[in-house]
Amino acid sequence: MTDLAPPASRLPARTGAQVICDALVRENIGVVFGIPGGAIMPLYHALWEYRDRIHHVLCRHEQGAGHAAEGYARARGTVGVCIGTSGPGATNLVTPIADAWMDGTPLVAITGQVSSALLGTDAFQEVDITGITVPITKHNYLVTRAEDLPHVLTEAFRIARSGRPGPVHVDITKDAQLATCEPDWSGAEHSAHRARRTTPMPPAIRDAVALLSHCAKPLILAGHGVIQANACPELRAFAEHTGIPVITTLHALGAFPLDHPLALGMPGMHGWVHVNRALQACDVLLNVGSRFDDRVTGKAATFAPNAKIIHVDVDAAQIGKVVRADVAILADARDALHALAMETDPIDTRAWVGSIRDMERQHKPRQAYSRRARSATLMPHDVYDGLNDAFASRSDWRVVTDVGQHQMWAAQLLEWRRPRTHITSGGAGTMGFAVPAALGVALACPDDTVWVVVGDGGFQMTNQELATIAQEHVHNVKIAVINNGYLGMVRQWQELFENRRYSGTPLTGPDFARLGEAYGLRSFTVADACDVGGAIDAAWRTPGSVLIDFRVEREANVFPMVPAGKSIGEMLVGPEPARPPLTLIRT
Amino acid sequence: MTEHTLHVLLRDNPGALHRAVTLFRRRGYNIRSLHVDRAETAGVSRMDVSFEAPNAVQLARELERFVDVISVRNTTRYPAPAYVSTAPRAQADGICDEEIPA
Repeated sequence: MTDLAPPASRLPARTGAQVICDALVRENIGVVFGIPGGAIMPLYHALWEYRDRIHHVLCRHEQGAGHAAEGYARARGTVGVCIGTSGPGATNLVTPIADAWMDGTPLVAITGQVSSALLGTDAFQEVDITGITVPITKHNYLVTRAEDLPHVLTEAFRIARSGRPGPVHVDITKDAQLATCEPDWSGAEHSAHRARRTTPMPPAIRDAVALLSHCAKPLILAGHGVIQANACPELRAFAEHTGIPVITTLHALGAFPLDHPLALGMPGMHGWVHVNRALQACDVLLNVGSRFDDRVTGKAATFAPNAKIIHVDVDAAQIGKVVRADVAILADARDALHALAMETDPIDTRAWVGSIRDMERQHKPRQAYSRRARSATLMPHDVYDGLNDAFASRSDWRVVTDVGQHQMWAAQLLEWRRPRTHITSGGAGTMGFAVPAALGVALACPDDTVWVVVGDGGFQMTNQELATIAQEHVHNVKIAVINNGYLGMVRQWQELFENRRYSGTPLTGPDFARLGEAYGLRSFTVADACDVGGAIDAAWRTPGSVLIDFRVEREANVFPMVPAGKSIGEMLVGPEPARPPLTLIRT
Repeated sequence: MTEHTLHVLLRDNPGALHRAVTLFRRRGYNIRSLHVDRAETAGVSRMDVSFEAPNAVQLARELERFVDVISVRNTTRYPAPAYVSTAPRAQADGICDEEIPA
């Protein structure tokens, strides 16, 4: 011991909880979402000191906190942070962590844990949460010493951001939060976590260019990786330079503007017929940042049977996982597109694009959906028409969708033009995502109007977060409930494949407008097609968050559709709103 | 299903082994043999795991992306009994010996 003062370069002793807050400040995390509880109370005690730098949003359920952090991350392209206590607080975070894992959302989940002396004793609110989150995180930590926190948290944020982004879970015992230490941030720079290569290898680029220079029917399949790598300008430049038409997956909607002459739209289970046919006919498929989800490929063995496949992905484990790759480019989407653009010559794709447009004119039922004569029944598509009308003259909007029919209609029918304006739960298909995620998006983008398109089923899973929206005075969330009184997508499958045995799908709910008003949101009910435009306009003009309950036709279906497990060449098409016999198109 | 053997170097951190072996459990692959020991380098463990699976490439790649995994080598062609005592240490973080066929 010495009575000399510590060297000036040393920080004074800090509690573990203060170190956590310091880490958040160092990572520029201005907003965190969570709920306190016994094992995380020391962190909340410290957060109070940081309340001018770190805004804590108290959610009503940890699942809501997790989805809100996801929405915040997806809208901003940064890491989202959610906080929960031990035991049930932590298990409630499992769904959003899994959601972030599937969709590659950068997320750091911080949970409190019982004190280290109690670990393994079945203590009050003790759950082996790091054991639970192993398969749904890029990495997780159980921290029992305050002095480990600078290194662990710095590494956690780095891992969440790097490569294919994703969730990292940090479980911190209560004694580690309470203990004091002299935090050493220098070791954090020498993290064990290796930075993976993100620039493409020249031989792979050369092989890809060779394929692209000898093809007649090339296609680009743009995935979420394009948005995550901020590669949208590079994608556009590459497509325009080469003349290759672009397909955008669900998560890439907005990466390439749908009104572009080379934009084809969305592929897959609810993709357009002309897009799936183009996939089945193309001779070279350049996949940039899509992991070939089964909702895109259908039956993988029959996917793109005539194509040589070039797969660009930053995660080696995605390449060859579902669909064989003839050329593998292990790289960040932006670097890969930049390198490819340098080497690839323009291709004459006029005949190819022309043939796809012919198929589009023949099959795309969009015209049947929209601008039809108004009927007494409010069709879901009327709502999307109304939103498109409102979006056409504005650029300050984003849309968060939930999971189900309304989500697929939004993906098909809304006119996506800009990245990070379409935020949804894709891989995990988490009903209940939309309302809390929109809270995060709204806080991340306070100048934008955030439209929530959500079914009545998913809305009732997490609508408690309306209270959070009200408490936070979130002014820019406008909720459109597509209310058909069913768990609609399941009902659709039951109608098409199970002889209309509507087992477990009819759904009642409260009067959503009165519920919204009870939470302090200006709310309307719309049951007639001619009122849609006025209601959307009123919602936009109303200061503060708004809810509209759209009582739509109960048995409208999402078409086209590839039945589960079938080739994407086999599509069911059924024009709305009439309900004629279904037609099976084979290519 | 054929039997494969992977030689994995991983950081000697709590949870690292759990994370590695849970990949096999997730797919319903049965582990035939599992040997874990300290490696020559301090702070590093070595794991030799034999299992039956259609192929080992996807597992090797998913093992490789774990933060605590340093390297993965496919050592299937080494006869197992001799291998246990004379296993070469992996040098770099290369992918497994048997690459995916194009």
